[in-house]
Amino acid sequence: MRLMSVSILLLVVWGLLVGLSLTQGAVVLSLSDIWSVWQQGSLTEHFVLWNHRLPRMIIATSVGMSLALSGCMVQSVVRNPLASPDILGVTSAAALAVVALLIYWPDANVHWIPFAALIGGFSAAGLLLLLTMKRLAEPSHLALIGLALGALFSAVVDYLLSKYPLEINGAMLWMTGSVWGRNWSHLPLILPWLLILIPSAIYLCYRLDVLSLGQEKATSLGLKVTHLQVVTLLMAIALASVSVSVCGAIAFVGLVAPHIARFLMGGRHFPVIIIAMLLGAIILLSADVLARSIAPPLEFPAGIFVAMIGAPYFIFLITRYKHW
Amino acid sequence: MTTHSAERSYGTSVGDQSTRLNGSITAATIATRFGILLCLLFVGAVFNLVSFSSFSLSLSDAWQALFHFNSNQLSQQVIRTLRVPRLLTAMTAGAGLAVAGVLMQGLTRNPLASPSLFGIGYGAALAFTLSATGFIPFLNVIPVSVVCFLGALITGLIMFFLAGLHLSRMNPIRMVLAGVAMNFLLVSVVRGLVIFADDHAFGVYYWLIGNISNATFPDIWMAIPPIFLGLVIAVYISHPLNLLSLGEERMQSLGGSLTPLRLLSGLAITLLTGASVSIAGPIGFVGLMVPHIGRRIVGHDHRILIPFSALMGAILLVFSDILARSVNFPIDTPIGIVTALLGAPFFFYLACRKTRGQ
Repeated sequence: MRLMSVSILLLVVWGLLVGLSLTQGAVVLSLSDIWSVWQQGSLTEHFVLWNHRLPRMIIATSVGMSLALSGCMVQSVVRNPLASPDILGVTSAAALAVVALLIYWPDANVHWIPFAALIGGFSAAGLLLLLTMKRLAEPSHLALIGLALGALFSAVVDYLLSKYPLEINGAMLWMTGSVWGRNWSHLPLILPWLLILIPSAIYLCYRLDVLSLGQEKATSLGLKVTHLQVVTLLMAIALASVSVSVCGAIAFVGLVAPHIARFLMGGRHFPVIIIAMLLGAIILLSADVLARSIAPPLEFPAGIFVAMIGAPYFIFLITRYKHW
Repeated sequence: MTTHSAERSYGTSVGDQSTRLNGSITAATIATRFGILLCLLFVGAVFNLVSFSSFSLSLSDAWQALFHFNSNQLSQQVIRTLRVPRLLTAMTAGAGLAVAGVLMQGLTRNPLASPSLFGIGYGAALAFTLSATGFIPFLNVIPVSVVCFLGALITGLIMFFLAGLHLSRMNPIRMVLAGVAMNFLLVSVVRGLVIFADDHAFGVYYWLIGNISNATFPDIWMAIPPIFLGLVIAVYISHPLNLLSLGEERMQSLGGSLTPLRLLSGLAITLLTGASVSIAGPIGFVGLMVPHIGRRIVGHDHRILIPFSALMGAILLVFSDILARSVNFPIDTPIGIVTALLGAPFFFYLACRKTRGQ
């Protein structure tokens, strides 16, 4: 019941944001414009709406959802509510792959960038799992090693960028995370993953609930703990890499959304996952609307606004968290 | 979980503290090691002055530029106006960052603490970006080092509470996570500012990695007093830091008081980091690496470790600067990249060792 009411409320908020997202920007449209475009379609407005605003809205929504889901999974494996996909080093690895592609193969088609990011993210994930497989019993170690790997990759990125300074602007924009210029061709990169991974996450919910009792209790209840941890981590990493490959490195959605969801819904995973995904979509969409309407024709990367909302909230969380 | 391991590794009982902290190292060995390091620093400095230049420089050029300066000679001009300030910057910033790292690790008793991990360097960087891009007009009037110091001070104060240093018991994971969040926040604000003021983008980006190729004398003279003051405070609190390494409760039961120590070291850390960042940018990983190497060589006694780390930080940056010029000769690589490429694997090694030990 509570799930129903909260999700309907969030859906309404999301709908409002969709309206804003379709109308605001360098060319301000009104809702009646959208209606008339729908009816007949004058040239420019149809173009703006159909080729820019609509795919951008859909991509912001799905990336927000996948980041939030990834955050839920990481937090339940690490069993620390302050963990997030950013600490796994996946983001920096993806950034490294993209920067390397931009530099060493400048003729490559733009469509290769997401694939490079995906490959980078998955290789980093493989490395991380290889290094931490034996230490999953103390999940905070996962965070430390992930952070260290991330530092390593960012160091290499910095080196490459200083050696080949021409790529600096594009790479910087990409590293902060932006929804700018995304179009229909980016959609197939993320939708299939979401279609597969959201149902699997819902399927795993019950087991994750058991895992949250603690590893010993979960084992004695007949759960294959390590197995579940590895599978969940793999899913989280896949979601994070896919989002990074579409939008660049957007921090904090994966941290904040699950958290608010848990605050609203309690500890059970099923409602938390649903609400967290809605919240993730709302956060990213609102950051995107802000980023392009604050000083129109100029566009900021949406990632900056997410961080500016997310980091203070995180700081608030750290001061409130009692179980240190 | 950490208090135990920290106590195990930092020495044990109280009565034989001074001997135990140093293990079996005698005063003579320490003096020898200091001597070796001084020689190393001297060799590095000379090499730094003349090596990897687009003009061919010789040792005699360096000698003459320093002692019989003739302004008509191009090579002597190069050494006097480009190389010497660069060398001095490397040495001061290295010493400052390294000692800040020692203080931080001693204060938090966490081997992974360092100024860059805590976002203090980026706090100073944010202040610098605000003044360089002209978003807050009156910041232009204030000298850069003061601005950076203010940024470091504010971030340091925030982190002090976020990391839970005001509590009697602190959790290392909390500290690391708080530092990560702070870094993310500051980095994204800085990036936003850079994108907004995009005509300076490249310069600010270079500065943000840590770069000393534009060092000038006036900047250095501004930075030396705060660094010197920070070093003096660090040496002054080295004995209480030794007591602290036995654990908060034991320190208090021995009559040491925690709050003045934390305040003084906080002040020293901000002075050292702010001043170093103001001349060299937020060079990462120096404050993380040097204390560990130093502890391996001279032991855990802060009275020796602090001056030793200052020396080693200077050496590290002098040699990193040589590397920075040589890896991509004749293009100057920012020095922060060299330290990051050295330091990130080191951090990785530390993280692995820490997790294996438990």
